[in-house]
Amino acid sequence: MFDQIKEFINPIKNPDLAQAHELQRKHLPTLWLLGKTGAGKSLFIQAVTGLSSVEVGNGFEPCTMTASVYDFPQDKAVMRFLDTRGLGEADYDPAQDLKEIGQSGNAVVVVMKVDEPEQSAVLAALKQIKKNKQIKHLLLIHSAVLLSEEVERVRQIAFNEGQVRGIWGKGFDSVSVDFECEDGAVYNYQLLISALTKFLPVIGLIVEDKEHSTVEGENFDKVANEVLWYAGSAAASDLIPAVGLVSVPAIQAKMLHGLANQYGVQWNSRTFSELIGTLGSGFALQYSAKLGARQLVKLIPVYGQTAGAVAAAAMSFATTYGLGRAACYYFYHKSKGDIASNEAMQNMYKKSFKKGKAAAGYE
Amino acid sequence: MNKIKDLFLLLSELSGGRWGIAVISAVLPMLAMMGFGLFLAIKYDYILALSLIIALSTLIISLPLFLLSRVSNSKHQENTVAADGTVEEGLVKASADWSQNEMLIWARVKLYSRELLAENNEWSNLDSAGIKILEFIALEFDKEALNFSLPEGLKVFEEVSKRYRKLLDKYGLAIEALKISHLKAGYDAYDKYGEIGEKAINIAIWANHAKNAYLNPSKFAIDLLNQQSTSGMTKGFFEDMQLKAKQALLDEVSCVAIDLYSGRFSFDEENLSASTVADKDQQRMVSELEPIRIVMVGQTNAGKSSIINVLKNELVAEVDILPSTKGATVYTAMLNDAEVRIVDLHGLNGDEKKETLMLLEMTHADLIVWVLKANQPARDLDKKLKAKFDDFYLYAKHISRKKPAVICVVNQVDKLKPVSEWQPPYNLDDPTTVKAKIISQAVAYNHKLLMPDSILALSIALNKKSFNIEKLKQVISQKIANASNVQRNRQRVEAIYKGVGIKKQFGRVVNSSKKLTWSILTK
Repeated sequence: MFDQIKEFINPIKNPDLAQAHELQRKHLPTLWLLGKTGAGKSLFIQAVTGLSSVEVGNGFEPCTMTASVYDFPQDKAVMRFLDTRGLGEADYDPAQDLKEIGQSGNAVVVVMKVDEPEQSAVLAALKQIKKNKQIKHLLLIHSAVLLSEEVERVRQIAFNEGQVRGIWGKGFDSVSVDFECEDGAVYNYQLLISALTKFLPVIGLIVEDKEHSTVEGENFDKVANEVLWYAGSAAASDLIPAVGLVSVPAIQAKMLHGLANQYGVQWNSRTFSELIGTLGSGFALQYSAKLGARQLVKLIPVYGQTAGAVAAAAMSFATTYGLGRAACYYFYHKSKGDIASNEAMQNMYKKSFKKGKAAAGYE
Repeated sequence: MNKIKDLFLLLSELSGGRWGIAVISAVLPMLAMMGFGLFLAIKYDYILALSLIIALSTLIISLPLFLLSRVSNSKHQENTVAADGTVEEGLVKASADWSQNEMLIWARVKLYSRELLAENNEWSNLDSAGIKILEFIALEFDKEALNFSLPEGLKVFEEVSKRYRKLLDKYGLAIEALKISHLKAGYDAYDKYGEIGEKAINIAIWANHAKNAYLNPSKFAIDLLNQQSTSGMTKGFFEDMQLKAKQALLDEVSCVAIDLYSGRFSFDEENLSASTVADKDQQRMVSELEPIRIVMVGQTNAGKSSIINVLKNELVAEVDILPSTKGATVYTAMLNDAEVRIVDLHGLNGDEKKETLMLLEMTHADLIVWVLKANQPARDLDKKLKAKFDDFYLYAKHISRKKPAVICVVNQVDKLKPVSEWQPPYNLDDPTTVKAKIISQAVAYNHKLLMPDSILALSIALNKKSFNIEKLKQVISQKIANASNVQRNRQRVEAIYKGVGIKKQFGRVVNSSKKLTWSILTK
């Protein structure tokens, strides 16, 4: 235990780390965009990620010819959008694509143009996805709602929702948006983000409205994606039995080291003990015990490899996020010459831990 | 008078219409002047001087021409097959009743008959050429050639003869000049003296012209026109005329063969002398034409019903934002004083049963209006249906069916980007604004995808300025003539499949033969 903590303080190049990042890349939470060609799938991705590289069609001919993947954010990805070729396109049989994509998507976002009741191709695809039972979460987006009068829109939305319900059952949310307002904004953007956050909380952590009262908060925003990325890596590595015991502390150590550098704080064992100290005397012990217990759980046959591993991953995500957030707060004050109060640090950790836990989908 | 009309018809047939202008602008004033001059010459006693001048001028014209004819290569063979492989229009016209596939067979068999003629164009050889053509067409229809009894064979010959005689009658004046003895003399001379013999004949013709010019200047003018109308002076009028006549005979054989193997032509014994009812049936047929049947096709909510309302100028078809048309509903409307029936179908929605029903309606349509939503690129359902529709006419079973024309309407173009810009009318042939450009691109894209017979953009949004409604009406009107032919074809094919009314059927056969001459007359 002591050796581990010592190693934690002075990270050396860790061979597990590279593997963990690789693992995270493979296990990024993935949103699969599904809809007829021209429904606005690419527009959705453009609106949420703000990526200008997302190619958007002209409205009268299909644009997305092959499925493309958009990691988000681009530099240190914590999630992934899967833009697929539009259904109902002339001479395109999606059967093979659906089968392949079905393996990698975690949740499906169905985009339907509000004035388009003909959705046979989408409904057939949904039926297939439902049958395969791999994906359980669905969000229905009604796009281009501003093209219809309000009275009509309500009926159109009800009709399309009825069609989806007929296949999928009741368990899905829906949101009405328009990506192409005259002023260039997205109609109902807030509703869209909150629907997505409910769906995949990481999105909320990334595209959350940036309203901050303090300079410290703004500073954190700048490194938030990095923290999320480390949290994701830690979570991904923790899916494998026993690996987490080594990889999670290693990844967290790397994160703290990286953050300290960014805040211009010298990183050594003293800084580390101070940081841990602010988090409370029990933290280190609790941390080690919990981490160890989680690893043990993962070794239980069947349960450990499924539910146990998922729970462990979620906890690792939450602890890493919480730790990252609190560390940023600490480093900020440290760089100014202050000492962050224990109380503030503990609150910060608890709050962020909860947020991270929610984001990781662990209740 | 009739003969002049016939001459005029022949001239325009031979020359593709340009002689019509020549006759009106040059010949008539000339004839008037001639008459006037002759009258004055007689009145003031200049008749001798006039005769001398005419004789002299005839010599001046005919001598160089005669010399020219000696110099140029008279062996140059008549070539009626153009470089691109298409055959020039002969005297025999295709039946308007034929389907597109049958028109292709017609084109191929014409090419084939020209080849046969090029091999051997003796009159005595034409019987075997005729048999070859029968075999050729039987093969095209995947049927056994000459699979009929002797009386039936005679009936075929009779039909050919009848049609051929009618054709010759139409071009009576020209054919009258073509006396068999004349021909025989010409060819005997050719046989005996080779090329010199042919030239002798030519000289004889020119001598005849000179004589005519002296005795009867107007006849000379007509003769000269006849000669001019053939493709070269050196080939001579008779030779060219003969070739045309031979081609016409073979074409008539092809015509009858197509009618025979497609099932239009029947061997019903009772009807052997039915040609007297032909006229009666022709009249009956015209009154029997039903209103043109326009079938509306398109995906759910593309705007089919709205277009019907526009064509009817009132609100009759239920228009809703959600799928509304249940089954098929038939509306009547007036288009340019002609009654049309518009069949509104349930929209395409991926349901196979509905698609089959739709296909059935489409193959029973005279004209198809295919509605596409401009701002909706998912065209899989449309493309698949169009492919099935096209395939239907490729089956050997449906080879005689005439395909209705398809008009694509790219609807709701106001919803294309930028949505806020909407100031119709737009000139789509030469688009300048962003909107006009995207509309014309959308039209081009859909045209490439579905390959319709014609395509146009349309917008009939309720609270916006409409665009292209007049053009839609205009395009539909243009296709009505073709639609009538499709309808006749449909009626006949249905009768064949029902297996009833053979007698009535024969009336139609005669009609189709009549139509041949009719089309020449009304041309």
